[in-house]
Formats: sequence, C-alpha cells, structure tokens
Amino acid sequence: MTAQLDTAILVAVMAGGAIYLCLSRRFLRVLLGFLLLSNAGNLVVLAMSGDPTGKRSATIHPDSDPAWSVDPLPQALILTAIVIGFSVAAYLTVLLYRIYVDEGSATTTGLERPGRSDGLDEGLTR
Amino acid sequence: MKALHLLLLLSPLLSAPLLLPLGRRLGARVGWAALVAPLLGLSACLALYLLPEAQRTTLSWAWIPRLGADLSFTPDGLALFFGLLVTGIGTLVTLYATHYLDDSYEHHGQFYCILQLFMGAMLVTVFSGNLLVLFVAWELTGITSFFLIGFQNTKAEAQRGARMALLTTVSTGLALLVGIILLHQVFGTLDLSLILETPAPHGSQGSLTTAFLFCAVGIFGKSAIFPFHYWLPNAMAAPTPVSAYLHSATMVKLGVFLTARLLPVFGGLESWAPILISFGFLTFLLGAVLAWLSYDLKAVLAHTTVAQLGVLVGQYGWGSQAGPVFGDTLHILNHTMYKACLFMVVGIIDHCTGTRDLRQLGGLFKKMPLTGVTALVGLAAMAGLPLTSGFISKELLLEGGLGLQSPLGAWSIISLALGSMLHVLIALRIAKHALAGALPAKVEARFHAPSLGIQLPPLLLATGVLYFGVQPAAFGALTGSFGSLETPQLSLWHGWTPAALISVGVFLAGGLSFWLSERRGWSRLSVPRALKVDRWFEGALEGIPSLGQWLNRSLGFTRPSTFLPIIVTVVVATLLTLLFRHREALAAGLALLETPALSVEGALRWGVVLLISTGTLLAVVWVRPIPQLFAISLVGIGVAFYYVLYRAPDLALTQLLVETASLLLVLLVVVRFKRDRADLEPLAIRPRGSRLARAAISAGGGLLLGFGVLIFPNGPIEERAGAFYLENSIPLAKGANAVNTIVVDFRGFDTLLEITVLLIAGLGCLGLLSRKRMSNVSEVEIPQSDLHPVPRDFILKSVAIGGFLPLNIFALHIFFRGHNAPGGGFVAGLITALSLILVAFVLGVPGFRRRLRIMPMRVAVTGVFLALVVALLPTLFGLPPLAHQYMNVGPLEIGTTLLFDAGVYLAVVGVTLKLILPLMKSVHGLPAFVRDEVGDFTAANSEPIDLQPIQHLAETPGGET
Repeated sequence: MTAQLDTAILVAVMAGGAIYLCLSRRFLRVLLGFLLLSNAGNLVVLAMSGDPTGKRSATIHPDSDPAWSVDPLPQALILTAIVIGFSVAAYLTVLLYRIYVDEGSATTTGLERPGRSDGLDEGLTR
Repeated sequence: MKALHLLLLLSPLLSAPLLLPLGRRLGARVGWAALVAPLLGLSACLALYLLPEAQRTTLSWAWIPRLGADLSFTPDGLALFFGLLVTGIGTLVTLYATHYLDDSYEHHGQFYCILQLFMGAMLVTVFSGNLLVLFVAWELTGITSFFLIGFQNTKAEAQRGARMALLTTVSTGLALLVGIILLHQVFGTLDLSLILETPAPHGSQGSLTTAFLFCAVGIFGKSAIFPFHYWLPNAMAAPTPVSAYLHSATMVKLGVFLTARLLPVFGGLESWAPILISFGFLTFLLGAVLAWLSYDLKAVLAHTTVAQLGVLVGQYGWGSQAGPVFGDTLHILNHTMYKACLFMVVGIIDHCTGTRDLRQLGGLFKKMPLTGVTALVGLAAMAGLPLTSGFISKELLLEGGLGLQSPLGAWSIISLALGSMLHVLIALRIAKHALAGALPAKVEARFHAPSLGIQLPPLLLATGVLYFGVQPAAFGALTGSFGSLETPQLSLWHGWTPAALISVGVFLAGGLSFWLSERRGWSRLSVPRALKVDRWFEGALEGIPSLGQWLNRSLGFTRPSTFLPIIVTVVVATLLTLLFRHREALAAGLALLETPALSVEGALRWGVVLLISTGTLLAVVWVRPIPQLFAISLVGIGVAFYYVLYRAPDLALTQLLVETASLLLVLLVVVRFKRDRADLEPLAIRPRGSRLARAAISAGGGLLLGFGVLIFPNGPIEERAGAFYLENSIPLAKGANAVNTIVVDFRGFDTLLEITVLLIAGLGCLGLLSRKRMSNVSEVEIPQSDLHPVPRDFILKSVAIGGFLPLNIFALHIFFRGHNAPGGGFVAGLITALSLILVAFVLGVPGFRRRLRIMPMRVAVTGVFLALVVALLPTLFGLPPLAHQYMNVGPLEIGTTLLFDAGVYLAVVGVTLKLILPLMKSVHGLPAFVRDEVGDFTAANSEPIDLQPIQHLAETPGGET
C-alpha cells in the first residue's frame, strides 16, 4: 500500500533523539531537542499526504489531473506548524537566555546549587 | 425620538476614546471635557422622560439572530429612572472628579475614558430589552469597575481590591448567564418584553425556580449581598469619585435593578420571598454591624452601603406576599442621594486632611462649614431623621414590613429596627468624631481648605435630600411616576402608627447606645476575625498556588528532568501496550508495506534519511554546543530537502529560512554561553544506568511515532479533503498554488491566529527581556578580548550591505508570485528579516538602529492589524469574514489576499527582528534592552536586565571606520 518505510525510520530516529535530548539536564540540549521534535512532528503530518512517488506538487497546471497531485492540506497545516514551532523555539531561546542571565547557570544542577534560593519559589512569586 | 435615545446611549461611548488623547494634552483639566457626555446624556434622558409614554419607542437592530440576541433598547419607566440616576450622578461625579483628581494623580485621560465607558455600559444594561445584551453590558460594567478600582495600580490594596471585585462579580455573573439561558429555555426567547408579558408555560415552575436561584446569585454578587458582601469594602481602594459613583450610586444597584426587572417573572415563585427577605435583611444587619465596628470613614460608608443594598433587594421580597411593591424607586433615589453625598464629603475630608481615620479626626465643622452642613444633612438622612428623605424612606419600609403577617415579616422588622438603630449610632459617631471637637494638631498641620467647586456637588445632593424631606408629596409623585402603580399620598406625619412608634424607639435606642459607647470608649471595637470574609477569600486564592507548590515539592517534581521522564514513560508505555494489543491488525497492515522502488528518487530519499539520521545521532552524541548546533543544522537542511522530495516546495523554502533564523537565535545564546565559559558547566553525578533508561524511553517514543507513520491512514487523494482544495483553488481563490490558497484564503483564520501567536511570542520575549532582575547573582567578569566586536572585514561588509537590495527584490518576487507558485508572505518576510539581520551583523546593532529607525514591534503589530482588517472588512458589506475580493489590473488578477499576505509579511519581519536583535546586542556586550527602543511596549519600571553598557563599545560602535 504505502512505500514510506524510509519516512517511518526517519521519524523514529529523529523523535528518539529529540526525546533523549529533551530529558537532559542542560537547558540548551532541551532546546535543541525541541527543535528536533517539532521537525519530526511535521514529518509525521507530511507522511499522511501519502507516498509522493510519481506525483506532482500541489501547484495546479491547467492540463494536469488533480488525482496526480499530492494532498495540499497537510502541507498547509505544516506551514502553520513551522511558524508556530519557530515562535515557541524563539520564546524558549529567550527564556533560556533570561534564566542564564538571572541565575548564572543553565543547568538544573546549577540552579540547585546550595546557597541558591529554590528556583521554584521564585518562579511563582515573580 | 430615536435620535434622543441614540444620543443618550452613544454619547458616553463615543466620547470615551476622545478623552485619551485629550488627557495627554490637558492633564487634570480633561475633566471639563468629560462633562460633555454626561450632560448630553442627562438632557436626552430628561427629554425622553418628559415625552408621553406612547412616543417612547423601542430601538432595535439584529445582532446575533441565531442566538436570538437583538440590540433592542426600551425606554420604560424603570430604565428611565436608572438612566437619570446614571447620567445625573454621573454629571455630579465628573464635576467633583475634576476638582478631586488634581495634578498629583496621573493618567487623567484614562480615568475619564474608563469612567465614560462604564457610564455607557450602565446605560446599555438598564435600557436593554434583550437579556443577552443586558448580560454583556452587565459584565462590561464589572470590567470597567475593575480598571477603576485598580486605577492607582501601584498600590497593593488597589490591586487586591480590583482583583477581588472582578473575581466575585464576574464569577457570579456567570451564574446570571446560566439563569438567562434557563429563562430562554422556559420562554423560548431572550426578548425581555416578551418574557415579561407571557405567563410562564404550565409545568415550568421547577426550571423557573432554578433560573431564579442562578439569577439571584448574579444579583447578590453584583449588589454585594451576603455572602458576597466582602468585595465592596475592598473596592474602596478606588479614588473617591469612583466609590461615590460606582460603588454606592450606580453599579452596585444593578442587582436591585435586575430584581425589579425580573419581579414580574419570578415574583410568583414560592422561593422568591424567603430568599430575598432572609438574605437581604441579613445583609442589612451584617453591614450595619460591620460599619459600627469600622473606623475608616470610607469603610464605614462602604459597609452601610452594603446594608442599604440588602434592604433595597430584600424589600422586593415583600412583593409576592403583601401585594405589589411600592416605593422601590423612592428608596433607591433616597439612598443614592445621601450616600453619594456622604462619599463626596469623605473624599473632601481625605483630600484636605490626608486621613480618613475617625480616631484622628475632629473639629472639621469649624474648618469647612459648608461641607460640615452638607455632611450633617447626609448623616441625618442616613439616621432617618425627620425632614430628610431618609425619614420618609424608612417610614415606608417599616410600614411595608409591618404589612406582612408572617415570620418573614417579623424578621424584616427586627432587622430594620436593629439596623436602623446602628445607623443612628454610626451617624452620631461620625458627627461627633469628625465634625465636632477640635482637629488634632498633627492633622491640622497638613490641613488645607477645600475649594468651592469640590464642595458644590455634595451640597446639591444634600439640598435634594432636604427638599424631598420636607416635600414628601413631591418625592412620592416623582418617584411614583417611573412605576406603573398608583402612588399613595405621602405626608410627613401619619399619627402614632406602629411604624412611627418603632421609629421613635430606634432614635432613643440609638442615642442611648451612643451615650454608652462614648462612656466606655470606642477603641475596643474592631471587626472580629470571623467576620473578615475578605481575608478568607484572599487566603483561598493564595492557597491555590501554595497547594501546587506543596504538591510539586512533596512529589519531588521541581525540575523537568525529574518529572519529564515519568510523563514520557507513561505515555509511551500506554501507547505501546495499545499497539501490542492490536498486533494482528498491525501485522496485517505492515504486511502490505512496500519498500520504495529502486529508482533515483528512492535512492535520493534513502540518502537524505541517512544524512538526517546521522545528524540526529551526532547531535545526541556530541557534547559541545557549537558542533551540536552544526549537527542540528544538518538535520534542518536535510528536512528541507526531504520536503522537496515530498513535492512540497513551499515547505522546503519556509523550512530553510526558519531553520536559519532559529539556528541564528540559538547560536547567539550559545556564543554568549561560550563567552562566559558556561557552555560546559559540570553536572551532578547521576545514578548508574540512568542514561540507559533515558535511551530506552527515547527509543520507545521514537518507535511509537515511526509506527504512526506506517499505520496512519492515507488513502487516495480523491477520498480526502485535499481534493476539494485542488479542484477549487483556481475557481474560488484565483490561485494555482493550492497550498498558498489554503493558507491565505480557505483557512485564512488559521493564518490570522498563527501570526497572532508569532506576535504573542514576540511580546513574551519582550516581557522576558525587560522585566526587572530578580536575583542578585553577580555578573560574570568578561575580559575585553572575549567580547565579539563588530567585524571589520571589508569584503564581508560590502557583501552583506550590497546583498541587501537584491535579496529584497527577490523577496518581493517571492511575495508576489506566492499565490500561483511556491512562495508567499511568510517566506518573503523571512528573507527580508534575514537580510536586515545580515546588515545588523556587519554594522553592529547600534549602528544598524541609527540607520534604520523603525520599531520592529510596531511593524509586527501593524502587520497583524492589517491582516485583521482585511479579514474583517468583508463583514461590513454583509459578506462572511475573509471573503476575499478580486479585480483585474491589466493581465493580473489582484485580490485582497495580497493585502492579507502583506500583513503576514510585516508581522514576520517585525517579530523576527525583535527576537534576534536584543540577543545580538547581548553578544556584542551591550544591554539587551534599552528604554528608548522599547517604546510603548514595556512596563514602566523595567530596566536593562543584561550587562551595564560597556562604554567604549556603546560610544564607538564598529563599522564606523
């Protein structure tokens, strides 16, 4: 039916790596994990448009049969998803920067160092 | 006569926005301009009132026909009565406020603007002939009240009072909405006049009772009836004109208004009388007791207001049992006049002495005799002394209560007698402790005499109180003219009726208790802890975050790295178990899989997969951030190429540019880390095997998503929604690029919200960068040599600057062809933004800003606004939103889609610049934020969070040579 084994493997590798990075204690690695994860998610949606082999892009030519075009809807959705992903990534980046400027560290170990007030409290009262 | 009606409703709403710029120019004097609207409204309302009833026509427009919500406004007696109150007291209060809010206050324009918006919302509420419109305006009064209470928003008590008022009135307002929906269920319409005319359908008693209970919650919340009485005293943090207007004369009377409105609907219910009478008169007693125990003059008045509201609502309870209610408008007018008057007097006292504490005042009668007389009249009305309107109101109330031969009647009389006695006591106390005696020397030093202008409005109100007190017949005739009932002749003296006897007893008891309190001293009085409901409310509110904190702490979930693995494990394990249980179906599906045919394309796809996988693995394995970033960029570019293989050129273009922009952002942070040598901070040692566990979880998650790709259904194109877009892209959206037509036309709302998200992210970053530093971690010392100065390389500079124009021409090309070929506003916006970043890179941010004086955030806001306007414009012509229009210009077919895309373009340029520039500056050793570039978008007390500007760099930015 489908011939998208390559996409499946690609998504598996990317998502696995992304989750691994997200579980890190270095916030920078978490951020990179997020970038990977949003790309992997976009690929999952893209895969739903089916195997593209032998098809045309979704730009319509007067003489072509729409049945031979790829599905434009997942692409439009991904276009939106890329932008939202960019917004979130940018926000996370600036957040990371802010944490670093405030705390002088960007790792959980650094934030838990003795003598430092609990970051959780500050987060709530701020 | 429609013109009069429209003038009345629209004058405050239209004048409100004008007052903002006027306020900026005129300062405190803007109050005079603010007088225009209430005066216009008052004259229009008077003119409407004087018209014969047949000529008072209803205004009506369809608003949301599907919900049965029409904008209809009916000038009946009740509405006109409240309309006159709102505009009349509004005029006096505005006049008072022009004197009260002197130059020591700020933002006068905003104050009057919100005040007028409130006035407009009030008028819409009382004139509305549709319950849904009434509800919307009802909530608007609450929201404007929130802003007015919190007007001095730097004060903690103003913040607390505003929050408490908003939470209470809005949440009870939701109950009112439920009540309105139930009424709609029963009567099948939201039209108020229809609901009032039709008798309730048979068998609807149950739903009617439920509707009444919900409406009662809304009424009680708005009018501060027990158990919601706590918010009103806390709302007194507002400037005094607001307290006099909203929290005694008008807004809190909305509950009373709605009770009167719905009396014909609910009055026959068995629960009507018990609920209104028991809660209303309990509130009367409770408010009086609390007022007796308070010593802040404003708190005393606030609590007596709570008490009076209790009576005003409670007396409607008599309606169903002892015949129709007479005199409700009389009581309301009486209370409004004397209480607004007293509030204004307290405002004058506060203004002139700097204190409202009864224990520190005295001798004010001699100091300001005019206000002293006014105060005495107001206090006499509060105590219900003869020759004031208060006396007439109280006698009527006592007679009404005595007319009821039931336990409820007895309860009203007991509450009325005891509460009135306390009112006498309170009035005497204020007279003795604020007006008589001598002013303490400490206060005397600060004292300044009030101007005549500020004393005039309360004096006018006091005159009214006296006039109606000696002319009860006129009082009765005036207030009776708003109702439909026959007005009995009112007179000063009825002979020794039971009501008169109770009155005399109340005066005697009040005098006696005052004498006793004087002897024993007032100082021991204070509000007992059990009655401080506002404290409980605050406690509960603060308990919510504390609970979360406690829960997190006790579970040990203080860091993402502790709880994230658990969450991911649970999700992955659950889904894998599900997959395993359906393994037969899965196996059947997988058996159908084909490997991609061996062709050039197949080989390319496998090659790209290999490339991306390598990049991913390297990003995981490598530890140093810069190589890691390189690996991630490999992935990003690989994905862009993969999009090409998937026949998605739009995605490929976008991905390539977004990847560049986001990597640039991350790179800036990484460079900053590296500069401080914080990129390889040591971590605490983890237990053995934790890395293995993480790897296992990640592998599970990856497998899950991979399986998803294989089993998610993707049938032939004819069966999908996509086929519709492919077929209709050219006929309906006049564009050949189906992806672009979906984005800007078919699903334009998505795009509108998407750029809004972009804007929100930009604003969030702005907030993150401009808020005050919280911790006092000392800055890392940076050697000068480690700063990244602006590059001085000539070739690099010429390429970057020289490339600017061609790049933007290319962006323009991409922008215009977007509708028919890959491209569009988003891609073009990224190209422009990146070309600007490139220029900023070689010029240095200060140099860049000097040459390009645009505020990125303004550009972004303009863009979102443009897209919004384009989306909403068709609604003016009766078309659905986002119905794009096309016209032929020569061979081209130009549509409003182009304007919409231009909005997207501007938003992208603005937000991307705003995100990257501050971080760039940080890397250049400059503060990420300075006030002048922030403009209107930052908090007043923000300061640069980053390093202090390094002088030599700030003064001589590179690129100037």
